[in-house]
Amino acid sequence: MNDAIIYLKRTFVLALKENIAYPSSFWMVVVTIPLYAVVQIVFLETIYGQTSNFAGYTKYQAYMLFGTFMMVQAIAHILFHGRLIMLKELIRGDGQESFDLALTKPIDAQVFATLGRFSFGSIVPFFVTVFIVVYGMAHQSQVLNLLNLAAYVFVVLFGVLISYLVLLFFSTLLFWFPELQMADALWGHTVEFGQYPSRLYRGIGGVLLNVAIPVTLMASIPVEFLLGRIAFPMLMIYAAITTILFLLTRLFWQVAIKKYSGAGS
Amino acid sequence: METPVIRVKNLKKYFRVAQKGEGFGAAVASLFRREYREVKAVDGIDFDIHAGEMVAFLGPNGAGKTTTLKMLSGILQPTSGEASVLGFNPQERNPEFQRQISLVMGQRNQLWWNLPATDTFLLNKDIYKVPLDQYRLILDELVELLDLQDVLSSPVRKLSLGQRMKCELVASLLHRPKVVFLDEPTIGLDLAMQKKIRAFLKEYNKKYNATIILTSHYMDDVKEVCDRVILINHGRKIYDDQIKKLISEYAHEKYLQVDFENEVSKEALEGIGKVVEFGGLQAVIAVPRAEHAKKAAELLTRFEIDNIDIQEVELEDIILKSFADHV
Amino acid sequence: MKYLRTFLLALQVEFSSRINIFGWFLCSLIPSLLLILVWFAILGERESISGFTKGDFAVYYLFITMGWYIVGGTFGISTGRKIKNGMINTTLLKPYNVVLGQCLEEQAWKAISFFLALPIMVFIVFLLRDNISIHLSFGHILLLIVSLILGGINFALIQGLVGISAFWITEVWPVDHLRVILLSLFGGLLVPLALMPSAVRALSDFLPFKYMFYVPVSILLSKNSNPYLDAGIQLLYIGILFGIYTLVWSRGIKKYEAIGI
Repeated sequence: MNDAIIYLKRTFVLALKENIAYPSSFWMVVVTIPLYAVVQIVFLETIYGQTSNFAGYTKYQAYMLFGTFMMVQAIAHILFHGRLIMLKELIRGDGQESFDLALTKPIDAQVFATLGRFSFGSIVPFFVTVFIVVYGMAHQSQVLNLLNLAAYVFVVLFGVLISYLVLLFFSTLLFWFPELQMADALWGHTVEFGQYPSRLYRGIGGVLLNVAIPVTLMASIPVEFLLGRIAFPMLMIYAAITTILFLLTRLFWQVAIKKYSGAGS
Repeated sequence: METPVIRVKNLKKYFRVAQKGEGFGAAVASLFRREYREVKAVDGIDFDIHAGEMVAFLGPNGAGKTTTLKMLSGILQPTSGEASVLGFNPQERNPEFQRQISLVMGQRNQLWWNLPATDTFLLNKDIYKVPLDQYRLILDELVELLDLQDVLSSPVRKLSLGQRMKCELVASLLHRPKVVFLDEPTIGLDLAMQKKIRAFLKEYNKKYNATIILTSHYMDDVKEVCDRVILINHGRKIYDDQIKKLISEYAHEKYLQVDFENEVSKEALEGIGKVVEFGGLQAVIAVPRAEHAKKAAELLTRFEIDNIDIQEVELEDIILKSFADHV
Repeated sequence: MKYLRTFLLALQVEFSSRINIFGWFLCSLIPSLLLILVWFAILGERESISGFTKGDFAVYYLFITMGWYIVGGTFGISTGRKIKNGMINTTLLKPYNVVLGQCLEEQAWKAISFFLALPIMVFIVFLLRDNISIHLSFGHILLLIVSLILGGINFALIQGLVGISAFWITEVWPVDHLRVILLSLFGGLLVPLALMPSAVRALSDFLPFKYMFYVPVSILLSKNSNPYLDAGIQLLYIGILFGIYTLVWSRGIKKYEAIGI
């Protein structure tokens, strides 16, 4: 744990330096991600041009929903996305780096191979999304409750963790299928389920997306907490689910490492 | 005698690889059915390596050199057999063990591409928990030894391949590992740079008594750097001793390289020994090792000679011969 | 001939990694099914929205998924990477165009994915058969095919532009991202343009993006007022985009030869 923090602290500084040295990618992110927000807003306007209530959400509640979803994406991008998508090159060994090195270093291989490339470009989009959520909240009749807000922040962090775990899961599959090209695309599309109201998913789909792999933790559930529609004790349940998923992916990762060192070439 | 740093007993590594046919039809077929075949990458190897030794693993592509190296550094798990490095079982990947070893791969890069190499050094300092004062001391020494002062402030992407390799070495040696594994450290480098890296490795080994194990395709790496060579072919050890011994054992011949004043005929030379190369004014003649002085004298008396060199047979030739003997 | 070989080789690579084909198809199916789900939820008890029935929505998004294998692709990114890696030298030395090569490699992937996805698609359409009604004359089908091909060329030219932007910037993906955004907004990938706010619709008339996917799918759903005019504009955009592409390419090469990357 301590080692991981030291590692993250150092890589944080390095990534900052890198972003300052090569600002062009930074600026591209700054420009393109808010544009994506424009797309979402047009989409919302299109939907609410046809209906006033979409799966239990009014237009401005839907703003909060989409804002939260993009916020989670932005945080994911800042924290881990850049490094995790490099994993496929690491495993295949066709890039500059090799996963082999991760296994010879006195640091947890999961920390080393999946974390530590922060992308600060997404900080601006992050603030854009905060603005969108605040804008949506301002149109609510109810007053902002601090407890609700605290719950919201917590669940957003769970959402980020779920996002990490889903990407980690798909990336870990690479140990068995090194040719798998679309690990990050699968992640992107799986995560997409998270941007809609949890009520949209019913039956088996509902159990899967709201409980088993609760991608709706990335938008719908935090917003429901913010709006005070979910009772606080549910927080514990979501914490428990997230923890279980964390442990399961960790286990899966360790099995993958075993397989790598057993059958690698 | 002290206990060896590395101890390997009957080490084996078998892989299962998918059989792939050639051509389009086979590719379609593989959609539905795949056949596997077992490859014995390493097939029962034994050796001991003592502290401060510099050993080369030599062998053709796919002989099992890199696989052995990977088992010793803890990346791969052996199928069977034992390996112990610094008293640890490498496959447990004990951090205590990892802090005492280092792996350098010639074709791999751990340096952050867009930043000066020093930044990655700092990262490794943190990962290996090297105290700051010690880090500075070691860094200065390594930079001095490798003559790197001028490149430390440029981003890695702007460095030449050789400079990058040097930085890679620094990054890998900052924690002063007791055992260093090098996988093809000079691959792709030009001759001058290869020489520099070799000189550095030799000096490093002497100065810090580090145990160094390297694999290489380049015979010069081996000849100039290592005292001991382990030849590996088809996953088996076929030779393990001093390089000098290998040369004398297998080189029953010496080469006489001669420049003549006037043109001579090939037939005339064949009385002296086996003509290996012939060009009218120049020739290389192989003669029995024991008689090389006598034969040289004979040449001098029978021909007008401008220059004569007595050469050892190239290590490549010896090794090729050695592999041929074991097939 | 050499490009044919590129195509066949890529075909072979695609076949040998069966997991990818399955994965990519899954990837392309998720967003479409999700959007169908969203519109079905919005429709609720209603018969249609702006003339779009449940069946129209289903056909629209499923067609975009399948149409991706005809019109779409992602070779801009790989081209950009090739240029960044210095592979462009090959193009300068040999009569082999890297951009075209990348484009053709992708056609292999598209072709295989199309045929592998087809049965699943037919099954989905079968499930939704009660909602779907398509009436196409032979002429319409012919026009649809032409329109798909023209759309594909337009799309490839945009991809090419994304790829060769690598001459100027360190990473291509943000440019590609921009392409995705413009296409979802003005190309009808996210929502049928007919349902979009009027400002977006008006703007899309003056941009090339709706002439890639939207025009063909509209022909399929018989929703354009003048399909022949639309196909003509598609052709016009090919000319314009090709002109821009050639210009940017020659500038890029000049820059590359002068100072490298």
